[in-house]
Amino acid sequence: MSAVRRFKATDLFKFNNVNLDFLTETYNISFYLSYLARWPDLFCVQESPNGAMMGYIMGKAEGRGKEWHGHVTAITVASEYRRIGLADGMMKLLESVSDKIYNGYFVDLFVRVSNTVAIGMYKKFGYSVYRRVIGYYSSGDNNEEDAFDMRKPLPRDVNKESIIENGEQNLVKPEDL
Amino acid sequence: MNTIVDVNERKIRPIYEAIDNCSYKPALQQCNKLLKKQPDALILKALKGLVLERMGKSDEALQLCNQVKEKNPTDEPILQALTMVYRSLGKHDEIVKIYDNATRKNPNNEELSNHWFMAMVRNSDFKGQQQVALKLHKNFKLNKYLFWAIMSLVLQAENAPASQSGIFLELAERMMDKAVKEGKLEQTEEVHLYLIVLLAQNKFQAALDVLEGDLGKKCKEDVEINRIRSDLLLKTSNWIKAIEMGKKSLTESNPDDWNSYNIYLESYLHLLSEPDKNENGSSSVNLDEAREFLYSLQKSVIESSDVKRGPFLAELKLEKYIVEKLKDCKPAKEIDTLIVDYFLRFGSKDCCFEDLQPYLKEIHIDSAKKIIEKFKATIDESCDDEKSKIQNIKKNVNIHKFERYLNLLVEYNEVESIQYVNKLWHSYKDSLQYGTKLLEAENQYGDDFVLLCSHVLIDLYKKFGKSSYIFQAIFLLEAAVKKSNYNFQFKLPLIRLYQTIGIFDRPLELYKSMDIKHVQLDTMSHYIVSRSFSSGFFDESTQACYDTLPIYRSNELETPEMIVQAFKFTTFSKIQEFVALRKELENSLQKALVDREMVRLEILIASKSNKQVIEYFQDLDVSELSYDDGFCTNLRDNRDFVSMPNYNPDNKPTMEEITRVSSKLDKLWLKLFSIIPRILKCIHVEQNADNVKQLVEELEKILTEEIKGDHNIMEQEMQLGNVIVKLGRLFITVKEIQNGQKEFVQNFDSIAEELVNAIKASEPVDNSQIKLYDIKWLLFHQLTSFFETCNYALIGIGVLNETLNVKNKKSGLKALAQKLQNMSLTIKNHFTYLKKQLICLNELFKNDEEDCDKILLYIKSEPHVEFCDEKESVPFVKEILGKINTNWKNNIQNMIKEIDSKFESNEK
Repeated sequence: MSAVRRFKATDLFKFNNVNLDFLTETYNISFYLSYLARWPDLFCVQESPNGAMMGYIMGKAEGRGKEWHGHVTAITVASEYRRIGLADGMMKLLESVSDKIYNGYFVDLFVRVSNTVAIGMYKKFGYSVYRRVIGYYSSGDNNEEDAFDMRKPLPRDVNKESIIENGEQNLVKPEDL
Repeated sequence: MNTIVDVNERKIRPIYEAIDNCSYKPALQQCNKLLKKQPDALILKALKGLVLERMGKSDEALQLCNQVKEKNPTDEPILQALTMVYRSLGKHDEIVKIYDNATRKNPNNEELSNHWFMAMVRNSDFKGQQQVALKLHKNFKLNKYLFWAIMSLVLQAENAPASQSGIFLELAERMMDKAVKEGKLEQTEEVHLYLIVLLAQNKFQAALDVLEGDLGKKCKEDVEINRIRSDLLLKTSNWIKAIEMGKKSLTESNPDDWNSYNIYLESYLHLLSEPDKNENGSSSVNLDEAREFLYSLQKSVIESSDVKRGPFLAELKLEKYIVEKLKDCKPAKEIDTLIVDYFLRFGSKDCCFEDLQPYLKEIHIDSAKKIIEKFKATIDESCDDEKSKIQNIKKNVNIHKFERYLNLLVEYNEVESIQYVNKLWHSYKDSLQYGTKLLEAENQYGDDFVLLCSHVLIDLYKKFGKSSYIFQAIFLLEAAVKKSNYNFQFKLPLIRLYQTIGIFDRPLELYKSMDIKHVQLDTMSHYIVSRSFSSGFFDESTQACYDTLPIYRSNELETPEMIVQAFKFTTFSKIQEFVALRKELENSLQKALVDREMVRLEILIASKSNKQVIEYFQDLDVSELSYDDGFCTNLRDNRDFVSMPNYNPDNKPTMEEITRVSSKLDKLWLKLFSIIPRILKCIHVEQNADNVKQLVEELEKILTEEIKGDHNIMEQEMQLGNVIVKLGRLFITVKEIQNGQKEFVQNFDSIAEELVNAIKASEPVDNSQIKLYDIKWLLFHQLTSFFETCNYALIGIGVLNETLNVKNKKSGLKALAQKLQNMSLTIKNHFTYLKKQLICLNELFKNDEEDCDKILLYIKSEPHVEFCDEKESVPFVKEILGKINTNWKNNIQNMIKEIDSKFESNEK
């Protein structure tokens, strides 16, 4: 149970409960604002009935031709609001906006290959691995990690051209993205 | 002459590249080389200005840029280089000027005009924006410019006095209506703008009409538009439509959407309670219909794979409303039953505790006890699969949280409370076996048991005042942090607990481990920097204060650019928010508080020598020390006081409030610590008696206000203020005597005595008999405050003495000078006393091993948790105590050193 609404710029003052979580990165303000300035409808927050921030999703629309798609840049839920289907609701919302407003062919996202919990969740939501990006995550100190680029086709992609089978074996370098 | 073609582009490119690579030295060399050949080339001067600015030479950079500006350049690269310099130095009005000039010369250049508009945006010149946007629209006809102008009117209205804002909005609305008629509205964001204009005037029906008409259809997929529409339906009492809208959203898209339930239920209950006033058809409304609707949603979510909480929580809301508001109706099920049913279904979810709070709030204690029993009965102890065991852990955690929330633990005495903590700790330890497969970043399933332990121990500390409970809470939380390395919910209370016993370094370490940055520096830094002066670690505190500053710089640089972006992408729905964000950070209370704390610390650090401190005051910019009512009213408190977990009953203070080591810093504190350095600066540098007089009067007003007020200023800070009042008075008297008003000589003695007494009164009580384990934040606060007081007094008297000596060698005021010197001696004696106190404290410490044993022995002599007796936890406990001990020792020795160095360097 939650109330979905657009993320407001001043929500940045209220998101600590979500962002103090170790896996949720806090970016500089212009990162959030640049998303809000261009894709205000792809950045949504969920609030509990008592008004606490439970989680948020931020995304963008990009690509040319048949690559035109919605992209999930970040999705996060505070620990006490996990396992109640919030991520599911937020992904559906982003997919719906990518489809109906942006008329995209698919939605995609990147996830660490080690993050099996998240990968399993996205598969449940209908995403499949499209390719594996070598060393996509690098924090400078040899902590390189590959990413799965996962995709879910939208109704516009009638022939499901945006996905492939066995995408795990489809290796690409980050510079070729 | 002022065109770019003067200089070969090929020659300039390396300069740009060097700037991009932050190689400023070579860039500067290249500029100088080319300038030798072409000393008048504006692009070279502008680029040199940019390089100089990047190198931190702002004055030289500005000088060069102003030279370029006077030539009224129109070339984009020149203008851009100037813009970058001015922007970085916050001189937005200069950017407006250069583009104003350039556009005058080139009125048909659309790009230049766009830059002019954006310069206005950065400068928050809403009126200028409107005018430029209209010009743009007139010259270049794009609809976008018209909407820019309308948006600018809205911003003008928002920032105008209430009496004038109406005019701006009316104009905006007229322009919008015309645009609609001419079919210019195409994008959803433009519809948003239309709504903004109407809603700012509370024209709800008109706004609703827009959404129900053709324009509304265009954006029916926009979540925000739909949210606004449902809100408007309620505001215009369109209950039936609102019910339909809520119903549709719940059945077709999301049965878990709280907004839709609110709309649905609110409308329904309205119709029910005032059937006469409504449209036809209202008679058909009855409670059973609403219930049936919720039941059908419940049925559908039960059948789906993941059960949503929405329809169940909505049922609670409905029945609670019936019980409270509809006297003639009976709830279909008792609230207590619904609560237990809800727990049965969702008791293993963390958020169950929060979900049920509103329905348990005013419950009678007997019912509360019964409910808890029923909650307990829902736990199936016989299960043996891991998933069910984990669910049981979560349910148990929730039950304990409810017990606390419902105030069921108050009857426990000291020993019973400890037994309760033991029980919770056992549950926690038992839960660990199920978490071995968790990822490193995840929290253990039973972590909240430990939080509850710490809350009980903190209660005990508050009730009995024994620091043994603080130590124990620290032990348990630290042990749990070892297992859940990244659990910030442990770290926040730990920071406060350590601070309670006067520890600075471990809280800082914990704070840093949470990777707090960017906007969090504004919201979270208060955990570390509030009254960090009192920690006694002056250098480290200063650094911690400095570390919070980047966010305010980012706001200056980044947020205006983002407002520009929002205009470029015509995202009208976000512009007011961005403007608001910019203001919130610009006028951040926390920023002002940190600034004042830094000034205190910097004065102290500079006080090691008289010369340094005078220089410091000379450089101190009092315009940075605002405290007037206008400034204070605009301040925005963005500090986060809610992220620390709290399960206390609603009528009791939260854990965040309970664990504060000192009162919350507020605007009165800000005023106090703005005026004190102003008075000191005035005495040291300007020597203007009238100014000092005025400041002293204001300071007195604050001190009286505090006595009547919220008591957010500490006793020691009041005493400090009092000393400064007397010091200021003494200064005024000396000045008057100097001016030949001999009658003031008589006053001198009494005021001097008042000052001496005020200092004496702020002397901390003798702490030499304190026990090691009783060292607290307050002790260090008293010592450092006295240090601060004596320091100000000593340097102040020093200045007075010089004033007299220098100018009155023969004036027969030698007696006064002698008296001042005696006062200096008295203050030095205070320092000696302070040092003696510190030395006594230092003697409390023997060797680490012995000290730790002593503290542990003390803890064990009081009621204590089993954890302290367990053999395997002894090394862990001793390690923590060792660190605490070292921190205390360092702190005390550090302060001794500060006192010594103060006198050593002054005597040299």
